[in-house]
Amino acid sequence: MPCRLRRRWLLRVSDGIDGPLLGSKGAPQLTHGELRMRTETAVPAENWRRLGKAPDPYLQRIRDVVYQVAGIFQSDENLPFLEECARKRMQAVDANSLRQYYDRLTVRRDREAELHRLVGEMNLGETCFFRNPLQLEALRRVVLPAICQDKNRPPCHHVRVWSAGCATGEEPYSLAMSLMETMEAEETLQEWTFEVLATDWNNGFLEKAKEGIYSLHALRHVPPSLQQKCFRPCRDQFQVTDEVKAMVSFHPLNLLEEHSVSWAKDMDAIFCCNVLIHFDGSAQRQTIQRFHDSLLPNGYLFVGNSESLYGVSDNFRLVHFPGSTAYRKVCLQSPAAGVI
Amino acid sequence: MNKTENTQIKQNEEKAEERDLKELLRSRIKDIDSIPTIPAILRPLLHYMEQTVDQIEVQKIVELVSCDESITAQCLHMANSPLFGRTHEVDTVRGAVIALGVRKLRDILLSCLLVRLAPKERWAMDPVIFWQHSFGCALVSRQFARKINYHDPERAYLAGLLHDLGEVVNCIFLPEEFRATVEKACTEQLPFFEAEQATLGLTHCDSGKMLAQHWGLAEELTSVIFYHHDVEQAKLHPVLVAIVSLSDTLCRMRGLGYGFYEPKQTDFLDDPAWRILTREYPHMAEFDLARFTFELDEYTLQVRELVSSIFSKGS
Ligand SMILES: C[S@@+](CC[C@H](N)C(=O)[O-])C[C@H]1O[C@@H](n2cnc3c(N)ncnc32)[C@H](O)[C@@H]1O
Ligand SMILES: [Fe+2]
Ligand SMILES: [Fe+2]
Repeated sequence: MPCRLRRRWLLRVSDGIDGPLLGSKGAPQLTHGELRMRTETAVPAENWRRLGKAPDPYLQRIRDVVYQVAGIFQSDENLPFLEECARKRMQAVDANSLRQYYDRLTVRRDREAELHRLVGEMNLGETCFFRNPLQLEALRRVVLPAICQDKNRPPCHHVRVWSAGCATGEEPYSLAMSLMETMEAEETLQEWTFEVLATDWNNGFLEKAKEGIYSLHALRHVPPSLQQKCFRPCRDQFQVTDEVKAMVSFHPLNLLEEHSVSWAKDMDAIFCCNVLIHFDGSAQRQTIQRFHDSLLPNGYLFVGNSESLYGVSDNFRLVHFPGSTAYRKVCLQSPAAGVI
Repeated sequence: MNKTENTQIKQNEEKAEERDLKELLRSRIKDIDSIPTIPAILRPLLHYMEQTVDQIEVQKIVELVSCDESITAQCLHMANSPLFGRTHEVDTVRGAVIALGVRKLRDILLSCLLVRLAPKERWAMDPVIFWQHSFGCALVSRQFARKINYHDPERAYLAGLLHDLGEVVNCIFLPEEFRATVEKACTEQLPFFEAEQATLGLTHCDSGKMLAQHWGLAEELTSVIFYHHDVEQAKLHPVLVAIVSLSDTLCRMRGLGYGFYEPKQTDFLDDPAWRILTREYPHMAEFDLARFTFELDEYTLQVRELVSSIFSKGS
């Protein structure tokens, strides 16, 4: 049954290749400058403890609100970076101390908007290939074998992964490369097929993604063997090979529009990294519920490094892999669910 | 002779071999006190510091520690690490007690004592990886204990530090056999206790328990050492065993494990240890494990730095 559904889905996707499947109204058109690169981790100027200085208690509280509302955690080590961002916002809103700014984030009516401006200041927008290598390692070495084992009975040798909020394509292409590499290394996977659906609401990003041309800097975390195999030089930059491109299809999609995701069904895994942090609580909950609907039983939802779904949904369970985590769909109809 | 009889005989032989190895180990452990690389003050200090903090006298610690120069040096090195939250440089044991308090100093001392247990050469395991794991597990156990309001977080620290003591025993007393175990674990990416079962027929839980009993360690420590891979069997102090067992797994999932990628997925809610804790602490149902995991990553780097610096100093 799932296989038939899948084919129908595939048809729809290929139908839509030339034009946008769904409208992308409401998407902000970011300028090219906003695509600017940033080193991926928020590198702290210095470590608090090394300085022997305790962090400001209000900074810690700000960290906690950011975590509660946006779902992204800044470790103690990252607190100096958080402070830097907060200070920039403090200037803008005329707050004189972290304490005052904390009040801004918690008391004022526009507190949530300000919080998202702060998150925006953290500039998590920069993306790159293999942004979270251990997450890809988990996909290859733990998740994929588990999925394939499940799918052997009854046999359905097709795996599909969705990159939701794919930006300029680095993430879905990294997924495709990882899957391709696994497929080639594992004899038992020879007859399997893999596909990656990639969506974003920003058409400019999608155009760039389809073109697939990147600077050397974006490739810095790509393992050398894959750099060789999956890219070819293109002027002074690098273009993703057609073989990799063939595994990925790009489509405009606004995650906040209910009808827009209803056709993305039967996913084995969804990657939605560094996107949900920009949504408010109810939007997060709705999106997660839709992801739940889109996933096959036992499917996996991966979110960004130091993002958390705590308190957002009871329909997913946190699972740990070496160096990364994901959320596994809980199936209410399964007998195990009675225990939970 | 038919096939079943044949296998029967083979199994009996294997059983006998296992027994022999256990006997052998037991007899070798008796000699532990005469091993020259193991500092003489280890046992008295360990016993002294097993007491509750308010029973410990600063003067007595200073006396015991000062007997051994290299332990003093190592202890100061650790006392000055950011992991212990020091605020200014300390250069004497007494200064360290004043700056950090008895509690922290005890943790530090125990940690360096145990690091000294490792033979310098011919260790089947990489001692840096081993101590990173033990030290990490100690910190995580204490932090976890605090989060869930376990009454004695310091106990959890000590239990975490000692939980894999049996690996040290294996390294010291079964050096050749254990080398094969480590190799199997690394190439097949198996947890140690599985590789041990396959190659030795006994695990570090067995050998750790032997040493714990020989040293007369407290009952709850022995329980943790023996049951941390089989939590449901622990009749004594199951809560402490569960705390350490979960911390052990967390460390392995967050880069302070066996030094290789364990290709597995862990659902902590399904772990028997988690169930034991939920029974004991109903508020565990609200525990934010994602956040706890992120908070722990803070330690990872510092534990790594500290342990490698201890070893690179050659002390
Ligand atoms: C920080 S980027 C993440 C890129 C990539 N997933 C990564 O982790 O490197 C966030 C992306 O989410 C997209 N996005 C934000 N809100 C969205 C929405 N409501 N629907 C679809 N995409 C959205 C943005 O256009 C942007 O490309
Ligand atoms: Fe162990
Ligand atoms: Fe362990």
